[in-house]
Formats: sequence, structure tokens, C-alpha cells
Amino acid sequence: MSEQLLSLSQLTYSWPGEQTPVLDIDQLALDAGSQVFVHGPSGCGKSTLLSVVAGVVQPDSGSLHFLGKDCLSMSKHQRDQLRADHMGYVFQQFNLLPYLSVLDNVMLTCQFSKLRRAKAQQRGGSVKQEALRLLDHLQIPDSALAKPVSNLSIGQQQRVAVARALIGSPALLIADEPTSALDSVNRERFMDLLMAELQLGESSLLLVSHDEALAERFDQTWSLAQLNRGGHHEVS
Amino acid sequence: MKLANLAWHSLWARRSSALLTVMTIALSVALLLGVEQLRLQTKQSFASTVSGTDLIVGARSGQTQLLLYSIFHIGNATNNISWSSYQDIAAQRNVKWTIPIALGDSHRGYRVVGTNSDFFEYYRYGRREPLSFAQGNGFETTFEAVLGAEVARSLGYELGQEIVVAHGVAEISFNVHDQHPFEVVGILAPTGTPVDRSVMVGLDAIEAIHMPVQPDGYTAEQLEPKSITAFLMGMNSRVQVFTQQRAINNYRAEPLLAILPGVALQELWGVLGMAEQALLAVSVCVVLTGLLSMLAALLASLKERRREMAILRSVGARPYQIFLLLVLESLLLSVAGVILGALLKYALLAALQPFMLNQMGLYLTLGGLSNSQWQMLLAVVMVGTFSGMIPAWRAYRYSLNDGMSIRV
Repeated sequence: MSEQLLSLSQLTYSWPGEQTPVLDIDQLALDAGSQVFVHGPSGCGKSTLLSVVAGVVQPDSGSLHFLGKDCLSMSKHQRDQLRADHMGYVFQQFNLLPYLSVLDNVMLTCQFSKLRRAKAQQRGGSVKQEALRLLDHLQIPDSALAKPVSNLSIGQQQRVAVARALIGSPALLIADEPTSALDSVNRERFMDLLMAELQLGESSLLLVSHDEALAERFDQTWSLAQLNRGGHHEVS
Repeated sequence: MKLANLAWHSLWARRSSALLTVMTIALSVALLLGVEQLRLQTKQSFASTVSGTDLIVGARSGQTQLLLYSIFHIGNATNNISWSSYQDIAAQRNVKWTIPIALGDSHRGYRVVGTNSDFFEYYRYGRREPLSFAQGNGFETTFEAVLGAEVARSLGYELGQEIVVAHGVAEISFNVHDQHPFEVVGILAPTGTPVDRSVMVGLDAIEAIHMPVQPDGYTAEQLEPKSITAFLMGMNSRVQVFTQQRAINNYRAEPLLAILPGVALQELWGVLGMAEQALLAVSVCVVLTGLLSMLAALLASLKERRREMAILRSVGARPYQIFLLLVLESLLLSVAGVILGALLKYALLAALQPFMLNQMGLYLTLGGLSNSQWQMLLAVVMVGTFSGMIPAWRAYRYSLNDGMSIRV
């Protein structure tokens, strides 16, 4: 279990046209199967860090390894493939495509990754069965499946987003402030269900939040304000 | 396939604005196809007004003028041909047939054509089709008339109807030859040519109505024409056409002009065709406007769809797939617009058909699309898809630059 899933070192990144790096991180590592809580004030580079880990932005220098592969020597296409196959992503809110049904939103992931489709089939019998299983585990009522996604509550939408991110058992689930739009009751329910589902699978979790009350649920906490020498550090 | 499915769902979710875009394209495409159809068919009907005639002969004037007044009954002859010259030329050995034409009178706005029975025997239109009688037959005695199909239909005339002829061609004339009523003895089948809008009577009748009434009847000498307006002629051999044309143009007894109908039609179309080209150009602009409105709609929706692009990127869509998704949307919109436009064209033509036949004597066919129309449809789809690359390119840039953050 101590195998490293993700490691980065001497990593710097600055937005195009800017002098000071928004990210300047010495050393970070994430073990396979562990859950990491990343917190820090606004503007400390949390979202940028997630973009770098997800492989949609390329750091200026340093090294980044994911699943033992050197991500920085990969082409854009390879990094897109790596994300499609091995990462799930949950945004702060509005995660779902409004024109697809709840079920189609969950199965969307499997349209872009053969590996995820194969894993989902293996685990659930079919992609649809696996999607239904995840939705059931995340307590989305059957009656909501046929509704337009805009009719779902925000809490339900966030849980559907988790189902979509977890289908096909990705190695890493990245969540960017997934609870900030939820009230406290829904936040607890969301975290309970998320952690329970992670126990069943083999996915690690990298969750960013400024709500430090969540930290106790995690194996590890990264305080980005301390770890990151870059960034603007203004607290507003 | 998965992208097409996504594009379809995405459009369906925005179906009210998508439908407006499709309707805009459809209307413009229907207009384009309709104008093209009108252009093709007027050209065809124009070119097939007269066929099988080797030469048209009239008093010396211009080639276009002679064609206009003798065949299309537009304008008037400045001068006539004397009967003796006509008889002289008609009797020449290499001349197979002639059709004399005497114009200048009308019946309720329709031209009266003084001619003889050779008109029904030798006149050809379209693909050398002869005239045929829908009812009755040609005139035999002096005060008998044959009606073109449209004259009979719009005036509601039947065989046996008595009609009077007026001098001049205005619809209301003060000089009515009402002492000489004509009896309708024949009605021609529709031809789609000016013949449909003509009343045919004998040359002797033209002479008779311009004379005081003779209670005892007319002598053959009295009824012999003094002059005619023009005549059509066919040669025994086409080789002789140019020789004959030169001979007539150099005719000594009076100044005459012989023209080749095909050449004159071409020249006249060169003038008329300009107007049609202009009409076509306008409808092309209308189509471009339709496509521009699609582009505007796609670009306007792009901003609110940045989130959608980020979501697709997060589940593993490549930037090129996001590009394709938007191009597919414009392809779907264009194709839907084109299909609806083609259907609309048929509905429009079916609705316009009776009007065009009545007012213009133009029979619009509802057959398949012509090659040029297919090419137009293809061009619209291509230009539409191509213009979809502009929003697609912007979405592509967004998806590269936005990273994993959602910007709204």
C-alpha cells in the first residue's frame, strides 16, 4: 500500500505572460489508496495544482510522476489519455451536462476511455449496470434517473458527479471544492458516501477545500500555503 | 458516433434556438432553389418557344426586335412585308414551308395572329413538337378563329363562342371591329409558349375586318392580303439556310431581314439572363445571411458553454474532439436546414404553380432537383460546416487554456 501513485518535485508553473510562478513546490507524494486533503486560502494555487496533476497544464520545470510514468515527457495526447483512463474529476458545482440524462452523464466517462469501459463492464456486468450500482450507492433515488439533471438538488448533482468520476475505477479521484456549494447536512452526507465508496474501490482521493473541518476524514493533509512558495497568498 | 450523439443531444436541449436557425437556413435555401428552378425553367421555356424554324423573315429592323414581335408578340413591327415579296420567296424551290404572320389586332388584350392553316401544320416548339387541338380544328372559312389554351381558359371560352376583334393591342379599344364577329372553331392544347396567349384567324379575315361590311360577301380579290408582318420558313435542307438568309437580306424589291431563331434567342437570353443572374446573386446573399445567423447563434452560445467544454475535458475528451463536436453541430444544423429548405421549395412551387401558369404561362414542374440545385445544397452544407469551424476553433482554444478551472 505504500506504492507511490503520484509524486512531484521541484515543480514550478507560471501562467503565460506572468513573471512570478503561481506554483513552486519542493516535494509532494501521494500513496496509492490514500486520501489527501489539500487546503489553503484563495489564490494559493490550489486549482492550478489540480490542473497540473490532471495534465491539462504543463509545468515549466520539475518532475511529475503518475502511476510510475513521467508525465512531463508525455505528449498532450498521451496526458489526455492518461486522464481519461485513470482520473476522475469533480468540480465545485454544475458538473453535469444539462442535455444528458443522469445515467448518460455517468456513462459519459466510458465513452472517452476504453479502459474505463472495460473495467466498468468487468465490475458491474455492463456499463449501465455499473452506473446504476454507483448511483444507488450514492443514494440517488431511481425516480431521479429519468429527470433532467437541472431538476436534481445540488447535493444530488454532486453525488452524480462522483458516480461519473468513479465509474471504471480510476486510480485517482480529484475533487475541487466539491462541498462548498452544499449546506452542512448535505456536506456530511456527501463526504460519508464518498468515503464509503472509496473504501470499496481502489481509488485514491485528492480533495481541495478551504473547509478545514473536513481534514479529520483524511490520511494526509497538505497545507498549500506552506508547501507552495509561489502564488499570491492574498487572503480576501 | 458518440460525438454525433452528444452534438444531437446538445442541439436538442437548445431546440428552440436551433429550430430558428434551421428555419432561417431552410427559408433561404428554399428561395435559392426556387430562383434557380425559375431560372432554369424560364430559360428552357424561352429556348423552346420556337423550334424547327430555319429562318424568321420580317421588314428590315434589328434581329432582337424581329424575334420579339414575331414570336413573343412584344412590341410592334416598324414596317410590313409586301404580299408579293412574301409570295415570291415562299415559292422558291428550296423553301419547304412558310407560315405568314399578320399582327396588329387583339381580343381583350390577347394578340390576334393572322395566318393560314400552315401555322397548325408546321409550327414547332420545344423538342419539335407540333401544335395539337384540345378541341375542334383549324379555321376553314373567313370568320372562324382558333384560340390558344390560355385565352380559352382565362376567358372561359368554348367552341361556338362568338368573339369580336379590336384594332390595336390595348385591352380596351375604341375601335372594335364588331361588325365581324368570329366563331371559335378550335382550341389548342397548352404549349407554354406565346401561342397559348394568341387568337389565330385567317389572313383573309384580317383583311375583311378592316373593310366596311359587305352584305353580299367578299370577293377573293378583296380578301387577298396586301402585306404581312413577318413569316417563318423551313428549308428543304439546312445547308441552304445561310445562302437563303443572305439572299433575303439582299432582296432587291424591298429591305428585308432574315434571322436564325436559335442565334437570336441566344442573343436575347444574354440580355434577359442578366436579370436572372442578379436574382440568383441576391438569393445567394440571402443564404449567406442565413449561415451568418447560424454562426452568430453558435458564437453567442459558446460563452455559456465553456463550462460544458471543461466538463467534457474532465471526463477525457481531447481538444480536437471538442472542435469536432462544434463542427458536427453546424453540420447537423446545415443539413437539417437544407432538407427542410428543399421540402419548403416543393411546397412553395406547388402553391405558386397555378399562379405562374396563369400569369406567366410558365409551367413549373415539381420533378427532382437539377444538378445545379444539388450542387447548391452541397455548397450550403459545406459553407455551413466550414463556418462552424470558427466557433469550434474558439472552443478549442478555450479548452486548451482554461485548464481544469471553469470560467464563466
